[in-house]
Amino acid sequence: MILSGKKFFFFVVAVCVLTISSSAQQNLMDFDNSLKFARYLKSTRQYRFASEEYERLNFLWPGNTSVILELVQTYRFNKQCDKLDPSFGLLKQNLFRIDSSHAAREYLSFALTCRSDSEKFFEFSSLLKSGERCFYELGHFWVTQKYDSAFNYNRNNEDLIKAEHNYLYQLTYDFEHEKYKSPALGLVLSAVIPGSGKLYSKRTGDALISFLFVSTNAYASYRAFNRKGIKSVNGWIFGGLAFSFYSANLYGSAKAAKRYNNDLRTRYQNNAENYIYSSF
Amino acid sequence: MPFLLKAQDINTIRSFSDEQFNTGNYQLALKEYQRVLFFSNDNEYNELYSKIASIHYLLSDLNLAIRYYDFAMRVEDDDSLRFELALKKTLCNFKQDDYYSALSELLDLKEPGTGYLKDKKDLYMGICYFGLNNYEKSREYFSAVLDPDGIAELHNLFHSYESYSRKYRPGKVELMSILLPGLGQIYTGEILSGINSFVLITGITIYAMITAVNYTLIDGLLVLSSWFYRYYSGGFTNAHDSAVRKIEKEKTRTYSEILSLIESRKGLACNAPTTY
Repeated sequence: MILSGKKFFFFVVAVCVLTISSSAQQNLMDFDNSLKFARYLKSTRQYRFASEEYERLNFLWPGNTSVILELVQTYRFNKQCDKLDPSFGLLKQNLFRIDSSHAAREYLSFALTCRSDSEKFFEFSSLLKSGERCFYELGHFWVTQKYDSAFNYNRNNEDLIKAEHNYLYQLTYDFEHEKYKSPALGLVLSAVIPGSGKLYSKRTGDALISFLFVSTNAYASYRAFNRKGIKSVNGWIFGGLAFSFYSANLYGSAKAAKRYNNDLRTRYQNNAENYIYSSF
Repeated sequence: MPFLLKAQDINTIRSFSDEQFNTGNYQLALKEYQRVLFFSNDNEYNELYSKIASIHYLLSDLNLAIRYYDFAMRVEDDDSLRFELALKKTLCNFKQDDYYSALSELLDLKEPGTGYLKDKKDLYMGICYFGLNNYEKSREYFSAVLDPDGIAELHNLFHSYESYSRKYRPGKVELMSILLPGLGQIYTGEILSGINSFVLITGITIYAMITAVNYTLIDGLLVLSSWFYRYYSGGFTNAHDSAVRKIEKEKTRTYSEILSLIESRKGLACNAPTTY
């Protein structure tokens, strides 16, 4: 049957109206549209909104593997650490549906982000192949600051870690063999030459100031006593000042060594975390 | 939750979002407006860019508010509405103390069609120049929105602020404390700090002089060496900072009075932050 020109025109208009009205009427809250919108929110870094959307999807259509993994991922991006334990339960409950290594990677990355000390970590890390497992487990010791465990682990799994994460291996090795400053030695050095303990901890400016304060006051005291003997008021005032600066400098030198060691540890910790967090 | 469980088309979600916006539930409105924009075709809901920008503004997320005002301006055909959007964007710049960006936005605007918009532009230009410490230009733009009586009042406010700034010029106050320790602090009203500085520096100087007379000049200098400069330079730096704080306080007060004057004379509320 061939339609005449006028009828054909009305037919086309009717089809267009129906199409437009059906697109305006489409259910934007159904699974496909909600998932599209959740992914848009995730891609624009609106993680809180995205996680709400994924939660709704998981509530209405439970058991979808993409939804579960992306939900945990948005929790991680948003650093919602209160969701770490529920995520563990959710992933474990659906492990028979999800590729176990995907689930493990997502949970372990989330746990590292939250610096979680939970034993559940090893339950998931055991699902990974040895090379990858070593990275996550060494990472766990770093982010929870269990340094002795990290050193032992690094030594015991040297080949595996070196093969895939040589930087992390080397960093852990260097950290283990790092030379620290001794607070006691700093104190002794400053007792002999004021300020030298601070120089030992690489605080040159402080060392110079300490030396100047102690030496000028001690010298002024010496000159006063030398001129007017033991009764010189100036001698006692400057002597007292020199002594208080000297004692304070002893304490400061020990503290400077401790601060040097802390700064060094913080530097290693930051380098390790930068590497770990940029690896997933 | 019942809303979310039912089948929803774009118009229903739009209505729902408006309702959330009107009841002050901005977070939910923000998400749902974005859903409408995400699924809409043919720029049907372009007015939502401005609504989203307003929500970000209300939630103090000013960078996002600026971004969405930009989107809204790009899709707006009406010149007057585009002008209003640019002014709202400028408000965000004011809140961020970014007067250069605000000025650049205002200078880019075409001359407005109505007197109301011209007044508003002049008011905002005045605020920009005030924020940038260009008081001559600021007075010129504020004057443009006022009647002769208002202009006279405005001139008094500016005159009073400029006299105050000259009186407490930080360089002058600092010099006072260099010449006589403590004087600058006392002049700016920091009496205790001034007395403290005066007593300390004078004490150290007298003690150093006594030492120099009783012993030698070297001993006197040794007394001064470790103490004098520290307290002396600390004193005049304090005096300088105190003058800066005083002028800033007066600037905030003057600014707030100017805005009140314009609002009462012209009925023109600027909605800009009332303090610096």
